Amino acid sequence: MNSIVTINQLEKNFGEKQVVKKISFEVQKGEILCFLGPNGAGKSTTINILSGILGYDSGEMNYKGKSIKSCLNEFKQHLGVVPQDLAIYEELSAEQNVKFFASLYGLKGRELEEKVTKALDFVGLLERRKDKAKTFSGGMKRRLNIACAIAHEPELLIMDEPTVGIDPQSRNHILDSIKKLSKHGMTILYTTHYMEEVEEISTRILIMDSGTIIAEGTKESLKEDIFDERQFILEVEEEKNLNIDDFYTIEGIKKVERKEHELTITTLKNIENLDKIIAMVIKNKAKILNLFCRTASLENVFLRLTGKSLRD
Amino acid sequence: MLEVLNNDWKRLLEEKMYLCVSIALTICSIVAAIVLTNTMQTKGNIAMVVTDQSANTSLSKKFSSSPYFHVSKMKKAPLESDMVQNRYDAIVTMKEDGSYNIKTIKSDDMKKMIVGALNNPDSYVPSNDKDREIGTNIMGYMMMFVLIQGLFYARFFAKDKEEHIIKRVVTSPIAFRKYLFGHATFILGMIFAPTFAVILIAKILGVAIGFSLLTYALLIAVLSILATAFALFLNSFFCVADTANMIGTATITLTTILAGSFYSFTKKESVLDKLVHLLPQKDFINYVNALEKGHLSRNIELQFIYVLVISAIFFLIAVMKTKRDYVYR
Repeated sequence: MNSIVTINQLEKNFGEKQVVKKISFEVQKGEILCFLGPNGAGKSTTINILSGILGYDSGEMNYKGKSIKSCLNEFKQHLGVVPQDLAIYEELSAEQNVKFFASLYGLKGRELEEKVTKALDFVGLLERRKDKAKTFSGGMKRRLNIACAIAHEPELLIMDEPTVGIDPQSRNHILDSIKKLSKHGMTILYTTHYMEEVEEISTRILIMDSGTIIAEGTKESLKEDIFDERQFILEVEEEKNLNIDDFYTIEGIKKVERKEHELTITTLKNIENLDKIIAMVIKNKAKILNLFCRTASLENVFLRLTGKSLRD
Repeated sequence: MLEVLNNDWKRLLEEKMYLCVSIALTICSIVAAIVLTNTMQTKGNIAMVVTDQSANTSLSKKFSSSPYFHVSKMKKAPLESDMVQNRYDAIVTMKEDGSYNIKTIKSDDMKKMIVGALNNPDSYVPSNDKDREIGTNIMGYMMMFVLIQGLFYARFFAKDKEEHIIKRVVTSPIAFRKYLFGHATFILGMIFAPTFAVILIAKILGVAIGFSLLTYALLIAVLSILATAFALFLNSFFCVADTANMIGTATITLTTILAGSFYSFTKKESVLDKLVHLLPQKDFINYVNALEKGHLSRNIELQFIYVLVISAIFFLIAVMKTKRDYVYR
């Protein structure tokens, strides 16, 4: 993959407070790069700097190998931004809103009309194109907010928590739209603190905390890299027959816990010992009713990396 | 720039009531100026007390036919309470020897006017050095409303800031100065066009408006520039549209009254008068007054230039402040 944007040693201070601490990362063409982090982690500041809404104290930002400062207009022409706050004209219709923002990118006449229609259709607001934004629900306004950013068909779309405070139906619609945009070749930089959204759409993740990038990779690689263990949960009958100490004789077992009918066994991930665990249960004359394997979630990854829950 | 202008217009069309109120206020101010100017120019009512012997003196005859006074001849002097009730501005008692006695409860200026007319009945013309003509009054009465309209139309720019839309604009390739010029052109146009249209209609209806239409166009344009620059200047310092509007309206009302746009308070060169000259409204109205009376001087022209310079300063500060707040590259 080619890198569209390269950030190098970016730093931003608000007075004495260092909000972004010399971070570096790349945005690859066609990916959905998710910025994950709790409130105050510095992810919105980082993308606001990239969008040109905020200044920065030091560092370099390049677009296709050229300094963004030297090709600012070219960069802006290929950039779409969906801000966290709704930035639409409530008193105007959906069509008028999209038309205005698209016209700022030099679109005119028939081309403008076509792209406005396409953007409204894409977010599912074509039938309501003539309705004023103030008559829309929260979810529809969020979708209009997105339409205003994509009508000029940007190469890079920056989305800052675009699903905050909306109903599940609209959220699903937005997430589906993002996946579709990605399929059409658009590169997306997405910030959120909703773990499930990252699980669903990300092709790569940057985890930020306290102004630094603490981990980077695909969701699978992050889980692999950070967790070297897995858990087997067994629902058993006749559990009183089980001798817990016997399980520690099996290679790789780290922890065994019994709670009524449930037996939780934590074992090293790279050792295949499930058959031995099952054999041990049978040997102890207990009956397995159910068995499943629990792998790490991004929430676990985050908790492990930062020592705090994502929504703290 | 045209995109912003067009968008502001669409936004205004969604709030037609504000546009109607704005035009209505302009009409009211012009009507008030015309009516009040005529009222101020009403002739003085004089009760002239003449005895049989004095009735036919040439002085009493000439005075009673003066175009500047309504003179009621009577043999017996009216009560002083008639002056209190505004029936008469003065009682002039003509004596047989041609002398006269003036009694008035009005100002010394009134007494001087009557003395002037009696001393020189054939060629008396009242001094109008301190008075304003109709054109100056129209501009003076309009001034406050025009300046407040600037704030009203600048609220689209203020709303862009308040609702974070300006941030979205900053991320687009449109040059920031074009964005601001778009708003400025809209405000300027929306102040100028309806105001000039009202003047034009008044002219077509045959109302005496003092200046020519071209002069009005230039004067309204300058006032619109001041209103636009001040509105953008003020809004660049506030993120909430209502705050800027409230502070701006209060400032404009107070300074415009102080500047004497409705009535000139300072007739002498007092300290207050000198301080008030810092207000562009004062310099503007002085220029308009001098222009109407044909008393233009170098000093007056400098006052006019001061209005343009201060407008330019307001605009530059607005551009620099907004750019500093929102543009980082």
